[in-house]
Amino acid sequence: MERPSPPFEKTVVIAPKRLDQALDFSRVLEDLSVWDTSLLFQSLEENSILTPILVAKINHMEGDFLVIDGFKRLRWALKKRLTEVPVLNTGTMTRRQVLLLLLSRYSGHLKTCATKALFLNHLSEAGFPKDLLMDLAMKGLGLQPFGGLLEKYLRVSTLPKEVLRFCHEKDLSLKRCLNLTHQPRRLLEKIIRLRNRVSISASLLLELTDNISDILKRDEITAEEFFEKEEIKQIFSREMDINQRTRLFRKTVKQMRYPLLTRLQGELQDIQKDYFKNSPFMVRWDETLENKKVTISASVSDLSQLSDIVDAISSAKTKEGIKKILSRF
Amino acid sequence: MRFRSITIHPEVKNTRIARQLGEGDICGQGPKLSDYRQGKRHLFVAPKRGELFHICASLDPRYICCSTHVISQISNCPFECTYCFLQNYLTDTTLTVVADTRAIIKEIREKTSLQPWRLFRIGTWELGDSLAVPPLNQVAVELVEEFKDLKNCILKLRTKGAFVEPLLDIDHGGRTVVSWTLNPPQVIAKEEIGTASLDKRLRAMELVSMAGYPVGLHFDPMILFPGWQRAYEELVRSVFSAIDPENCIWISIGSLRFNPEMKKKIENNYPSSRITVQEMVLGDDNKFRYLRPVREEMYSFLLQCLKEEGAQKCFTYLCMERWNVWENVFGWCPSSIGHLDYLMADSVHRRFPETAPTEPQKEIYMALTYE
Repeated sequence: MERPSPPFEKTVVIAPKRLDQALDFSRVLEDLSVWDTSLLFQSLEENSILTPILVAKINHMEGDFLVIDGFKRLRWALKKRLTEVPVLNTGTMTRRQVLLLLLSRYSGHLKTCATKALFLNHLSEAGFPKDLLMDLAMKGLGLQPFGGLLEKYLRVSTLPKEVLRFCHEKDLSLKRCLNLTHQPRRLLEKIIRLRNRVSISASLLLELTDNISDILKRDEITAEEFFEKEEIKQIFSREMDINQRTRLFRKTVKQMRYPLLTRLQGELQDIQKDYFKNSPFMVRWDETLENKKVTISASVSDLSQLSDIVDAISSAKTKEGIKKILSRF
Repeated sequence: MRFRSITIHPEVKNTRIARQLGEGDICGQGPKLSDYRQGKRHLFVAPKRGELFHICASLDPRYICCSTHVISQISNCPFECTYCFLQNYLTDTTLTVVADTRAIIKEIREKTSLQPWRLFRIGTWELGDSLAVPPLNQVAVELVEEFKDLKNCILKLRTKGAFVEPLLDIDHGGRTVVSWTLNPPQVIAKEEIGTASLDKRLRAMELVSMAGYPVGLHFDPMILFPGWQRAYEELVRSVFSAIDPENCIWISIGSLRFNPEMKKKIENNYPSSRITVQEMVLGDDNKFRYLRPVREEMYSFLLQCLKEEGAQKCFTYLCMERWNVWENVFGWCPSSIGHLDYLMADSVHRRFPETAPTEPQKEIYMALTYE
């Protein structure tokens, strides 16, 4: 394997515009708030660049130098319109060597599925071949080196930026991230943007996107048209606590997705109200309406309550109510 | 349909099926394909490995099941039904056919001889279509010829195709039931891609019926769509214009069902399909189904259509349904899976004595246990 010469002999100054930032992944991590760079920029303001920017040429490439490390220093220099920056030229490197350097630099920060997906996509777009991604990058990220798995991660990386940020923050698994890739982008973006008004957990996001995308397909409407529906607009126009709004939004979406089930459940609840409103026991049934079974339950804190409960359960009214519920199955 | 590649395992290169194919690479393994669609276009003619005969994998004691048996002789299917579970099931998707029929028959003979009193209904459609394309129908021909001598077995061929020609002039001894999965033309066009049209299926049905085969009908999966009543009514009418209800050995009814992972697969593989957007609930067997009252309405409606067309004598049952659904649709339900097994055997014995000459003993069937 070709090894770079000791770099300390190659420290030079060079115009920032001659440096190629194609491998800069730091911005992605900053966007996701994985890296806090405020202290670094404060240091640069006070000390300027003390450590040279690491550059290389891959496989005798033509043109400018490729930055391997020091992207934030370069960004600061460009912002300050510096005409020269110190660089360490490592000479010509193979893609494998560059990839190893990048991995050693970033892998410690890539803990979530979203960051791994973005990193793999970043490498893929920078021209690293698939076999190298599998042999080196995937292994370096603790992933099995399978082509199918790589495809899945690359698919996750296509999620809208705000959704990826959510996936990262909630540390969503690959399976959950992949589920999101099957949902309409516009819908995902719209729901994610409600985050300050609705308390969205990972499971709620999946439930909402699943249900709303089914409604969109069934009713042949767009995400915009869905959010313009009166019952949805009302939820977001009324003043209410975020948790209350979340519950209402979730319930309304479910009712819109399952209108018949909602109606049938409502009829059963009416029977419950008519027959068991002040009963000392609970009556429940299978909410999917599949299993013909009624469950009667009661809590007792004093033995004297028991006979009242038994009397209430064996009353003619209870039997009639149970009969009515069972007849719906 | 032409396969992109045909591979024949050296151990089965002299079988009838391999010879009839007349082409193909001789190789110990077929192409390893994981893409569901890609595998449909590559055929591997394989030797028998391990046991292929078993009870239907869908059997679930929480539901009333017909306890049919299957031979896993075919894996994958050239057709593309949007609701097909194979898209979420197969890891090796190459269309594979086990060619050494004699070894299969030997296994069936050994296992069924342990319960000589029982009428075994044995299908070849578990992971594919029994008659979809040549040479699958040649495999069927061999099985038909062998089954005529298996006294307590019925071969169940099930298809959405129309390639029945090779079956017409062979001695089946009445021990093979040729059956069709049936849906209205609207559903066939949208959801059963590449299958035979209803007209072709009905013509094929007519031909096998004339050739003396009992015919089985499977209105399963029924699909909900605007205008479904009229479509299914016309479907039933067309079927019994093609065949006499007297030749129909049994009718099964079921509705669309799939597990939660399948929903995403269907939506990805068939984005224009709308079958996943209906109201469905998850059952105890981890399968989504239409709401029970909706299913009951569909089944009751179809049952009424069947009655109107004179099919009340045909043994009609529900596939993978609960006790309460049976009661609401039929007004009764079998007391157990063994009971349904007995009722089917009894119906076949009374209506098709050549197919099931031995009178089934209710007590023995009722004592069968399923886990």
